[in-house]
Amino acid sequence: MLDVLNAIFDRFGSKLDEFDLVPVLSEADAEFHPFVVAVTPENSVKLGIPFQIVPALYTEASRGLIEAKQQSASQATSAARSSSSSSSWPEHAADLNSEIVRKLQATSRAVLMINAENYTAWNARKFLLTAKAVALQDELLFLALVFRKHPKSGEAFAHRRFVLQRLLINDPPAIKQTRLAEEFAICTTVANSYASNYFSWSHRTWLLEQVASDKDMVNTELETIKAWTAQHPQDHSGCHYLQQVLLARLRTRWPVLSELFAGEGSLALKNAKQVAALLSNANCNDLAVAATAALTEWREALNESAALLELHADNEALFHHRRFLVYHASLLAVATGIQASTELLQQETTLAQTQFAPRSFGSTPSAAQRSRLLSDYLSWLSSLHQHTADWKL
Amino acid sequence: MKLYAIILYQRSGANLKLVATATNVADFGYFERSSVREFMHFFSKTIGERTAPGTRNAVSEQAYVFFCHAREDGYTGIVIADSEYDKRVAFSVITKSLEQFTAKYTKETVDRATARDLPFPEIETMLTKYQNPAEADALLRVQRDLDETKIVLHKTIESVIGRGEKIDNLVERSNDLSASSKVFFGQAKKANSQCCIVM
Amino acid sequence: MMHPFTNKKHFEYFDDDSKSNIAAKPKFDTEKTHSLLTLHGPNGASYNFTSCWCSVNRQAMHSDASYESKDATLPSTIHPLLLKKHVEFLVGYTPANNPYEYAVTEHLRMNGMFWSLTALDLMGALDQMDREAIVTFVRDCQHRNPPAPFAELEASEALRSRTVDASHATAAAAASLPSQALPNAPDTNTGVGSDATPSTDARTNAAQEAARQKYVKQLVAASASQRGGFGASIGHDAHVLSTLSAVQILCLFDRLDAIDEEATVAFVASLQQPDGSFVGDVWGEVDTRFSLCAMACLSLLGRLDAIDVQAAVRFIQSTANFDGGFGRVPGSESHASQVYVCLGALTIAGAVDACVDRDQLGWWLAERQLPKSGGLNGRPEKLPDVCYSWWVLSSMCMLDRLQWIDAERLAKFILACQDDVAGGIADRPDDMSDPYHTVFGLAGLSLLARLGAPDAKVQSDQEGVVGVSAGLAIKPVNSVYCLPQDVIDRVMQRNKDRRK
Repeated sequence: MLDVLNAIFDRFGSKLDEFDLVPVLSEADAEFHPFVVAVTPENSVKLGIPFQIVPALYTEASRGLIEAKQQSASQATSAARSSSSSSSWPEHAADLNSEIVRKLQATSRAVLMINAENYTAWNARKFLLTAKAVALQDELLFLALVFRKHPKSGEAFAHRRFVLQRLLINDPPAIKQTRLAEEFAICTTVANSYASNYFSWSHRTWLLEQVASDKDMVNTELETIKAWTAQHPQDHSGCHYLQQVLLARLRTRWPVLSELFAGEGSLALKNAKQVAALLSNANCNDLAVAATAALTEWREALNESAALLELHADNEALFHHRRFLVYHASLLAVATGIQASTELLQQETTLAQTQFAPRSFGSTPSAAQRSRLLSDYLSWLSSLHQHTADWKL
Repeated sequence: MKLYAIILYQRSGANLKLVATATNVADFGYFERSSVREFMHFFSKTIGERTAPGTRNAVSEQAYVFFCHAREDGYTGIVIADSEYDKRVAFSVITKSLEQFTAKYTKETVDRATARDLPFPEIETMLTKYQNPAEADALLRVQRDLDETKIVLHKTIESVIGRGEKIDNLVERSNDLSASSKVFFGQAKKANSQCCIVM
Repeated sequence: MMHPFTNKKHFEYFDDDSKSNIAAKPKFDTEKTHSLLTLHGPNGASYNFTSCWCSVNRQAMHSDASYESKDATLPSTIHPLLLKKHVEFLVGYTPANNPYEYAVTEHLRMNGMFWSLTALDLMGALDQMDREAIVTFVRDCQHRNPPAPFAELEASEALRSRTVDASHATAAAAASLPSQALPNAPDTNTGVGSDATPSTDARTNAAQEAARQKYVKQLVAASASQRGGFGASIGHDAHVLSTLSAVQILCLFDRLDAIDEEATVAFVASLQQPDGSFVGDVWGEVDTRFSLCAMACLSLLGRLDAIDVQAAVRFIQSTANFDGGFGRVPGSESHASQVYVCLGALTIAGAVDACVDRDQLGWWLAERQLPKSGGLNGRPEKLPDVCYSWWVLSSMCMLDRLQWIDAERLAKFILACQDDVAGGIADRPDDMSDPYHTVFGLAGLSLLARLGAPDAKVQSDQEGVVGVSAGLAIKPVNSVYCLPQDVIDRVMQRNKDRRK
């Protein structure tokens, strides 16, 4: 079976962009036609693996992988005339004969198509990549193929970063930009296929860091992610990413605000001290100017969020996003050095009570959900109110 | 927030006759698409036949929701969406589709024809249009006071089909489903529990 | 003083405790859960409410069964804790019974053994397993080969060609090169170039040279420095996740002497990066999970001194979000299981109070409880899952805020996820059970028992209790290490004795 799979990859290579587990009607069919290959009118190739052969294929491939790994280790060891037996990767891929390289490639590929969390199989590929037995560019295609079936594989995303790090380091700026743009697009595709996909959004945050200094790319990202969250209003991971983009934009435009936003996470311990230190700082004036300007811009995001909440207030992710916006708005307000934060939070409370409240209280399940979320939100607001009062002292 | 299908039927006796359909299966895998389309129609018909004229049903089945509105005059509309899709919008889409369809074709024409003879491209346009959250929200602003208490919510298809009937049996007996779709159904049920291992 | 909830019980409670810190009160009351923060600031001070705060009775909504959120539905009958079934399920979980399932979980074998063995020990049934066979297997999973010589690798052809490519790269491309684009070598003493700026060619070259050196070390590391670490199974690569599981298993059996402890310590310590973070293995992925794995492992071995604990704490702090939660790296979303690993690491470092606002984070965790099923999720708008009974509850324990959870309803949810035929616990009612959800369900029940009803002791030795007191039939579990408390006491005593 592995040989057939190998032949399919050799023949179709990069045209193969999708695979799936498919039913065949009888065991006999599965034995006779272990794989189904379809070529679409657009000339892309789809591979179907019958459910029925998966256990046998996986068992064969995973055994073969461990075997090839041990062979590669012992072969390299004997080449180095060392006496120790080893289960690690050899240091010279050149020591390995092409048969072992091919076996590692084929077995790890089959294993990962069925089980993308097998970290030793990814390591086999990392070894092949560092030894240049597999091209980095081809590995990106293989990963895209794996994501079609395993969109939420943390190991696959870690492997993708490993590959990208090695490509980006050599890319000239123009190519680097194209590559990153393609990478953002892959994240979108993967995020679409599995809701609240922690690993794809975490990967995207990593990409955002790579482009943080490129204002155009960050702005493009903002537009993309705004449209995406509108399409997926309940996806908290998407909202969190939108928040990262908003913060990245503020930091690039007003670097002085970075200090204000540094070290999030603890309302009571950290920010009180930080804000006090910042406000007593000589740069206090710059900070106030920047904060005023940023707050004006931030209001746009607050208005967008209010409009969505008014329509969909039974959505927990939208409420959490509002917490994020209001938290940072109140930080900015505190930095303007006036009573702005108290006013802001009082306005917010009134707004929430009038606009986010259920229209027909208690009569439907979604109204009950809405009241619960609103009540939690108001409690949160009052707690924030208390903390900001502390900061100003 | 995804809209997968709008399907319209006309009731004749205990059965429903398909009169117009638009589906969007682009998100599904290449090998799944034809089975998914078959199942959309199979489940829709199953639910539509069990929705009494003049009532509304919303049936969740895993990540999908089937919204069904059976009109007093026998026309029945189904919208299939994901669980994020606002139900008020979904029911408005059904209402609009049925209104437009009945404005285009008289009852007499429909009685004598099959879906093939009743071209209704408007339904495709509608499927694309209400995929867009801005359009959906616009509809919601007009339609926000839909009386939700009148919608009957079902957690699974099995709770709609009632006592003594199993969805597995219905699937097995169905003539509308191909053999490979039936195998897919069995496999999908097995693979239901997904692991979430952290460490 | 106005109370936001128009409920008599609240007033009484509030009057009782207005001067004291609520968190210290062991008594449990379901209605308090989300109102605590508003009543008591982080300093324990209560403060005035203006009448503008919402007056919705949370309790009344709890009893309303018709919620329409993402949630699970509980079955009409809930079985009491089925201890015997669960023991049978775990003992019978063998390759012969589940051949394919066993093959696809081989990369998790060590973790899987840890889950099953801990679950069995919590139920007092560890003696049903073959201790010697397991210890031998664990020992065989430790990598023992000596490190490879450095010089040989540097000469490798792959590296030479890489360096040539890099010299064509422009200054701008190189800007991100030293700190961002290259994986961090596990060896931390490179020291060069990490803060170089590419404003001149010379600097660019220096940066590239530094990056190249780092890359060389990375390769060396990849080939050689698995030594001392444990793979998930025989033939699998060393990783800190399976290394922690191996150490935990040996703690259960009191057989830490069976392995090369020094090599284990060296492997784990080698994973720490200059910024205090930890990579999971020699290939360089960073995650706060690995911080906990490393720190738990070293503290069980009594060798926390092998790493820079302060730096580790600083890194964990840098992954905190505005909502009080933690993510896998700085900037990633708060997630209940990442909260657990970060709090666990901070607890081991003794740094919780220096880094965390207990009320704020405790509240975020309490909000993970879903209104209808009583189960916990890991993030907003997600379904409940039994494993969060561990990630969330253990975190609340470490924060001393366990009493903010509605224990009765959560206990019911966990019990509803039991498989009454095959045994074991599943993620949600009616799903397939597995060892992973079984151990975290049991451990969750054990933590809930800390809040047990006053008469719970009487019922503790009988099966057939539905509710919080079900957990009294399970051994007390340690909230940081997910091991029975008696095991932790023994290990810590061992470490103390050895220091003498």
